[in-house]
Amino acid sequence: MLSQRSFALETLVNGRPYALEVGANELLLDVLRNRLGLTATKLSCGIEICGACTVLLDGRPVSACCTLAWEARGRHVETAEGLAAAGRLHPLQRAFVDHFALQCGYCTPGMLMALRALLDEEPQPTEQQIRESLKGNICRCTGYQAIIKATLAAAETMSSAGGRV
Amino acid sequence: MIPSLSIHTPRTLAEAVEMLDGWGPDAALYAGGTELVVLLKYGLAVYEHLIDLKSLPELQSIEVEDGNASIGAVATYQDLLRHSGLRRQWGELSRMIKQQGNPRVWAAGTLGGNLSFAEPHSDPATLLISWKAELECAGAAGVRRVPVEDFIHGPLQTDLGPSEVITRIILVRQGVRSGTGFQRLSMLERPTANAAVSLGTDGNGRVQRATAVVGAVGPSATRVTDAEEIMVDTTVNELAERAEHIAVVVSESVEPLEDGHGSADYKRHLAGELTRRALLEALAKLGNSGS
Amino acid sequence: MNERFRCVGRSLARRDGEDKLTGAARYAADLQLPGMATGKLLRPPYAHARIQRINTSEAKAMPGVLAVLTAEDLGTSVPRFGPMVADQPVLAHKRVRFHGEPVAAVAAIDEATAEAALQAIEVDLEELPAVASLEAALAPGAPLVLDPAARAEDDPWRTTNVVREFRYGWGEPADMCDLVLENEYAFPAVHHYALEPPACIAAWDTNGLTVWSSIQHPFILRRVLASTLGLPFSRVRVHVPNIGGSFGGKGYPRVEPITAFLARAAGRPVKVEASVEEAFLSMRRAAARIRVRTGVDADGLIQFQEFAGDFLVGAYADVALRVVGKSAYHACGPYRTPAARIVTRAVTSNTAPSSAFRGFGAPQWCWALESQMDELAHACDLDPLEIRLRNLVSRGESLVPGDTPADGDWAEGLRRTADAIGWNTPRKPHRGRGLAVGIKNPTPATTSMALVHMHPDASVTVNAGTTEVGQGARTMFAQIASEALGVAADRIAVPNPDTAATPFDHMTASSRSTTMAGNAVLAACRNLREQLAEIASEVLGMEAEVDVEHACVVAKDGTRVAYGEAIERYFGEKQGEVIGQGAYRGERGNLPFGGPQAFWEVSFAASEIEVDSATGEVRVVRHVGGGDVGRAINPTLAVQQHDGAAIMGLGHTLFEQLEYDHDGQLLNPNLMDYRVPLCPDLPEEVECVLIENGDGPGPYGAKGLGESGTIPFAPSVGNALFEATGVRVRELPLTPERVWHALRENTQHELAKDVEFTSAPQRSGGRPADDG
Repeated sequence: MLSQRSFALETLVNGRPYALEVGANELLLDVLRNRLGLTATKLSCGIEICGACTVLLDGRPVSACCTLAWEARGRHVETAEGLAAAGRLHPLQRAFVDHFALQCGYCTPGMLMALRALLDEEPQPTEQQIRESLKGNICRCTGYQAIIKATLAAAETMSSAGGRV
Repeated sequence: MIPSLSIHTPRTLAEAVEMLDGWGPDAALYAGGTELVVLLKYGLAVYEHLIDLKSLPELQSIEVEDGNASIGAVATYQDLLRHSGLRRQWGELSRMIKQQGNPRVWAAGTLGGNLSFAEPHSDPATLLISWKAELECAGAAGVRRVPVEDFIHGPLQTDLGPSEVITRIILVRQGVRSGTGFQRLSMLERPTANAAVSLGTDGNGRVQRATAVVGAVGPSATRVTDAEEIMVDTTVNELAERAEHIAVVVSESVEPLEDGHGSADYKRHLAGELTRRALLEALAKLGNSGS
Repeated sequence: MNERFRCVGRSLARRDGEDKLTGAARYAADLQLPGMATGKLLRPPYAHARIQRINTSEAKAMPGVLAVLTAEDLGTSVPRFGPMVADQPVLAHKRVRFHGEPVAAVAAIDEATAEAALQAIEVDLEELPAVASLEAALAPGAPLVLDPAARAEDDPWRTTNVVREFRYGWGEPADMCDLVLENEYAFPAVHHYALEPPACIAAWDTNGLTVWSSIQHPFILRRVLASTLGLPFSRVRVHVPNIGGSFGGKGYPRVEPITAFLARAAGRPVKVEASVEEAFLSMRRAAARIRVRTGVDADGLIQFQEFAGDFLVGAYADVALRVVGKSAYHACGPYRTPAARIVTRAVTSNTAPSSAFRGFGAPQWCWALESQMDELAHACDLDPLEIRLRNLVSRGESLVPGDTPADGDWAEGLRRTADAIGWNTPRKPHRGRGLAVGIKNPTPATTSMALVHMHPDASVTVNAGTTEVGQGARTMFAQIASEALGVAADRIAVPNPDTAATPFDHMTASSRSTTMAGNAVLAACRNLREQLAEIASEVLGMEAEVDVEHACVVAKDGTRVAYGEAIERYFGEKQGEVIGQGAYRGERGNLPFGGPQAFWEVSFAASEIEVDSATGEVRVVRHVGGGDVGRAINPTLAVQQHDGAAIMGLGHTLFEQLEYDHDGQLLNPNLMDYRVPLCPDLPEEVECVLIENGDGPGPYGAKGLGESGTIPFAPSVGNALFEATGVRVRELPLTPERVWHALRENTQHELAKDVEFTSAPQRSGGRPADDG
């Protein structure tokens, strides 16, 4: 049982183990951005609505800006920086490039992680399922259409590759 | 930035209650944190101690037996959505969850957290009250049950005692010939108005029990007994014909608060209209039930 | 794809895509400098207040606090800044004039300390009456936002909240009109909500001030900082990394001036990151009420237009007056208008500065004009498409007298857009369709410059000052340079602007970058080619010219030498570079705003909607947008811009409105209470029609379209709502409650308001035109 103002956070981030002394009051987003230098995940609204700070915690999408770092202990945190493997873009990233599914790019890392979680849950989502699933990820630039198309394309690629990529 | 605090992981429910009792207002129960962390970040609440309930298995499990459901207060919305027994037998719960929030809220948010926060612009209480759901609460004085309807007193105010923890949400089987409808409208992030109607009939198509609940428009979700009285002891066909009239009765009964979501006038109208739709939805499900 | 071109007209993948997808792309908030401190601003929750006293002693004494500033600490006279008028104090001086205006600033070693220091600052404020709406600001005896003593003595509006009036007009209103229609339309104040709030880092050294900022217009920032801090331009350097969206909101300085002062006081670099709530409190679009009175003949042809508009601007000037005056200029839209009288007023209020926001006033006028066109159509029993086709000017016809005539085939654009929505096909039950045409003027008389460097290996770097706000400018410039030089686009680098290395560009706004900055790049490429030819001539000892198609120089005797070889033979192995320089200077002339329009940005919108009449909810089911783009350098990027702009328009059409209480406080500065379009709001079908007639002044016949999708969106929906329900709603947004009320009221009223049908000659009444 841990009952203190700070604790030893042992966590896996994008497959890499980290051990940090972290305050019980610290937010996961701040640990990622400021302590680990992983700046892909962005701060926008700060109240869990926009989704720019979406990361995966043991595969579940969470708002890093309103998640205590406490929640990451013994868990696997995944961010956009971890999607590409050995220099190759993840199918979602590839599809975003091919379908021009980003403009300013600020919502993009969170969007990618939200979609990764969706495709884990639902490998062949319908357009309707994608729309509903993305209601918590705001994009102000693209108008969403290209993002939906990219997701459908990535789902296609990933299902022919056979499973979680 | 959240001020410095301590997080505690009780090994048993009794220990959690003891911690709450000991620290009093300096401690808060912590599960998904979807409301609490926002309050802490912006200085709207200050606590020295957070008591993490996620380590207690008795607060997480979901049991569905003979149509009755007992849902751990700290089970996430995602856990509820994934539970096949709940999905089959309490389908409106899944539908209600999916209409509110987003996948991140479902991954972390809990019914216990939602009900103890008691934000008026919210969906779960409305539906649960239509099912006459009850909460099991554990505290220093022992365990008690309280209907959800009596649990929420007003905006951000509940019946929860200072050292009490909601442990489970209890749904009692509604009966073979039953149907529930849930409707909501949201303009902003939280719902503007919602309504739930739950009906049960006898073997002859006669309504034996009816609940009609309106939420989000006023201080808390409330049963509209004037409407319920009209619904009971009619046939389903008569009830369908009375739907417009029931909408009027509901809109005249509710006391909406004017706020950024809309005027009292509009909310009054929505209360009636959404109840009408929920009623028709419940009737349609009655037609399909018993299979 | 157009076969005439090698690279232009191809939808090359955007070059910053991978970096943005992997997290390698940096935005201002991602940057760190050694020793960097955190800055925060104190913004009291009052729209109007007298500052009695600010006590910073406790904050200053806190360990880890490096600087605490109030207006008094900034200089003997309080420094002020502003892109047009330097009226806004860097920190509020004696008065808070809008909810969100900062009164103090701290720099500390970390965020927690900075926040604690803010909390420790005691501010005594005496709340004053505030005005935050047109009604309140214009009411007789309304509290004044500006001090009359500070205004010019001969200012006729001195003792009111009217800051400025603009008047335009031409022709003589007709004696005979078969129909005169008068209506008033209202447009809300809305906020940009770019995902990235403003952020900047300021650092001083002996060379002066360096700033990394999310600023959309770095050269304007440079001059404002130079002016505010008393520095020459040469000692202010602005870097712009990627910008996380702007839409005009981050165009003009916001947190940069105070950050510079904090950094100087702290003796260390300071980063200030505004929160999204602070962004809501800092910038917005002007709300407007526009009354329009139109006279038409029996065939629905416009005889005259009279406009009277009031725009609610903020407590400081920003570019608000320009928004009002410049947009009113084309209030009559793309239609033949024999006579017009346009009067518009900028009315100040205790609210955040209203600034540039995609459309720059055009959406407000378009809402009024295009709703009115449909009301006229209905009154004349004409199809809304037909009335527009009858009134649209043809190519070459005068639009605003004395200014650039119509430079597109706008009837073609409207027809294609209407066809795409299936205008003449039956509507499904409970659905309606609506059309609208939008128009906007880019900035006249502005300058863009570019430097194009060719390196010894013939790879190229383009230095142009357009910032990357998401539109894909860097990709677009690479494509233009590739076309003009014959160098492969992936061998062309386009770095983000750094005012020390990048030549002057007026701004990234106003749909001007492809045309004006693009023309500068093109001119620089031309200049580069000339130099290559000269170098080759010298090296080869005979006349030579550039062969773009083969990326080489060709001597008079047919000898071919690759670009790179020519450069190396001229300078030495692996040495030297050839730098092409180019400029675009917008034509100047005796017209409002400095000169004639380089082009008109015209766009088309067709929407199909469904209404839930019991709740008032409106859903846009299908939308087609058309942009008269001239030449799409990168067609997919162009379509993307248009689609994104359209969904932004969906926001103010159905959801978005800033709400203030009686005391002028902004009630909904956050996403909980302010609704922007979400993914499920996307219509089932969104299509973009690009009209490419090669008739623009930009590279290869390009025009601009960055704002096109937004401008006509709202009236296309309002008109569709009328078709679906017979009800006309004249105020945005079309929230469920507003629509529900209108539907309820319509059970009593059948006709549109203020319709005067007359068979007798109608004196429309006119006033001699005044200069704005």
